[in-house]
Amino acid sequence: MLKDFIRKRSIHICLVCTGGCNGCDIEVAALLSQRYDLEQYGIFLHNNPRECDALLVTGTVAKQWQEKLVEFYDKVPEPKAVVAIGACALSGGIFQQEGDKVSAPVSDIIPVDAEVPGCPPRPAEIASAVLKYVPPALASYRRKS
Amino acid sequence: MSSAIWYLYEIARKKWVDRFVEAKTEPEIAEIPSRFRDFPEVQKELCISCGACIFSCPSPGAIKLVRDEEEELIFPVIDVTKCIRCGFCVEVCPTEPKTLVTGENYLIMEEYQILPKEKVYIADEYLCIKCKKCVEACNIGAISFHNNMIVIDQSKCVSCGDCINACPVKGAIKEIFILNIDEQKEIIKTITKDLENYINVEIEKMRKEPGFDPEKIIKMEYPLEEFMEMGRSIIPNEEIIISTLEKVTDRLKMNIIIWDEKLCNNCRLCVNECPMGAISYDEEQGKVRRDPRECLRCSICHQTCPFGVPELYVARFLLKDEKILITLKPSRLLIRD
Repeated sequence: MLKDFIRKRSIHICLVCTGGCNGCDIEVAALLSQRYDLEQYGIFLHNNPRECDALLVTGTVAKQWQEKLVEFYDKVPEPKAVVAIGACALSGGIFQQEGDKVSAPVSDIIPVDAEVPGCPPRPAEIASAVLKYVPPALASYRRKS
Repeated sequence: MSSAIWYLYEIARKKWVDRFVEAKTEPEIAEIPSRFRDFPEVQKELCISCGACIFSCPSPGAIKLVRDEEEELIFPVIDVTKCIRCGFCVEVCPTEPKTLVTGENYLIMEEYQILPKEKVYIADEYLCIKCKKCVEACNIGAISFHNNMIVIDQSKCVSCGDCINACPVKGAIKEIFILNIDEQKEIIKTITKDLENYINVEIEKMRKEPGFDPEKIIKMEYPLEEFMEMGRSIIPNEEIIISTLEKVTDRLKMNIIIWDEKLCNNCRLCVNECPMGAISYDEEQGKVRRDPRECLRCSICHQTCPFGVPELYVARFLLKDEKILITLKPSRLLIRD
């Protein structure tokens, strides 16, 4: 109970790039800068999936990432949430062309709670999506299991 | 202890409390600027379903044209998950106002053109003698000689007209008024019609006079005053009218057919030859009739007729001192035996 209350106010996230142009990752990095100051909103960026609550998935899922992304998702402790960021993660974007071996969208591989469209989305859009959708997703995850 | 008291004192100050309470995020961070190209909005009723947005879209399948059966509209639908917000679809959208709307973008619009021009200069490849006098005459270096051709860089040109003055060949560099091309077309149409009517009327008059020789060159003058008054109602600028007329008269060559019914023996050879069916045989009166409105002036009847009923003249024109000088020359086409 207390853990849920605290978790809503301090979301730990982990960024996963599954093959793309890295534009969305740069936008997430811009969130850490003084201008947006992500940690002020109670979001903390981890490098380790075992320590985080929510995954930020960017990039079209390349062939080598298909199994690894599932592994990655399994490592996140419950309750967990996934935010797909950018056109690549949502639809494959410009990589989804004839003859390409990408398995976008991300929602085909792991369950996705929130989607942030754009190529890349604005940093403010990413932060607001994380703040808006991740706490209810974490809460409802508990009820599911 | 003393430091703690000092902190309390500092925090309790009114200025600090005010700043703490009124703290806001800078609008630049929170708000999206107007120049930002967000996902385009679609205004369904303006779409003409040309498909330009689909061709311009770099992201596969981001725009689709959808047909709404109920409203009977065809309009683009943007897939938000695939759109990369480049705004190309908005740039190419040809409707006015645009069907797709996004943030203020940096298109080069007509009002932002650096040099507002009403004239464009174009080198005529065919007439140009490659003397390169215009290259020397141009003060800003907009004209260059490249690949054995004179090239005028329209982005540099300031429409000063120095090249036309330097050019030794009339018409090798052309001055084109780009703002009212439709009106100029109308002027060209009316002047050609007027000239033809004038020639026909004048020639009828001349033939009635004694001593008319159809083999001789005929000269006449077309006064421009009446036409200019009419032209001013189409384009108020006299300079444009004159330059349009000059272009017309330099190029125009007109075939004139004069039908002399007295010579006709009603042999009806020409009736079947006419490609337009402009010549018909009136059985009641037993006469061959020609309809000048249908006539193409192809000169086939002139070559067919054994009696010389249709006379063919070639007219050429010159604009001089507010008059158009007309020269009519009898044609030297071979007449079939």
